[in-house]
Amino acid sequence: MPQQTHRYSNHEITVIWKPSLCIHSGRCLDLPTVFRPGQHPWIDMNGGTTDQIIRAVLRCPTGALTYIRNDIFTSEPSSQFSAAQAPPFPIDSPDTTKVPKGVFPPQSTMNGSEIRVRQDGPILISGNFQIFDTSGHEIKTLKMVSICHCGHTASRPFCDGSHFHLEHKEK
Amino acid sequence: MDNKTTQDQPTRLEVATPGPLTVKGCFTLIGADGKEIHLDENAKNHGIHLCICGRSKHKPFCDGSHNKI
Repeated sequence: MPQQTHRYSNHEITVIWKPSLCIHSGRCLDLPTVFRPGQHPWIDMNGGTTDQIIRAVLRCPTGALTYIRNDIFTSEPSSQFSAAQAPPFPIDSPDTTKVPKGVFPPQSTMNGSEIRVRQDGPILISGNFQIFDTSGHEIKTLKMVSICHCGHTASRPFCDGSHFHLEHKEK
Repeated sequence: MDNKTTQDQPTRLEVATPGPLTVKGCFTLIGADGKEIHLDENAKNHGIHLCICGRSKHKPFCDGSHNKI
């Protein structure tokens, strides 16, 4: 099944979002004027400068968010595109797509892992870890995972963004 | 206090349904305020329990509320 892809553009770049790779780490939410979960469209390319958007995209730990420069294409890239208006260029351009490499939270310990609880969000786990179910079977994961902390995910134990729709306040 | 064997091994996490998430081994716990939650090394080695049901009154830690679901 082809991977679902959404595009959001300004006059300089196009941000590409692949929902299937998103673990809801919330790292893009450091730029809340652009990345607005729960709103439609959730990425507002007019909400920040191109440089701000690029820095936020490069913080994505899984590559769910990437970007390409519009001027590499011969087609007209001047208008902002929603997912419904995506221009007919290739979905993935490996030579030009900026994919964050190894962008994980800085490790405060040389070994082991980091367990980070996001405000009103999931439990982010990165580093050297293994996850098991109660039968002892290992649950295969990426190098960073997002565990549901609100109890409402439909993808247990992983976060699926359900907390965005809840009043989920940390005491 | 440094346990080289523990540091070399991956942190072990176990997911129970409906909770908790048990974390055991060498790890750093960062709270929702961005600050490290300091834990006793013995507690880490024994395993700490984090809430994944959403109902704990003492987040991020489990308080047994998942048993009431």
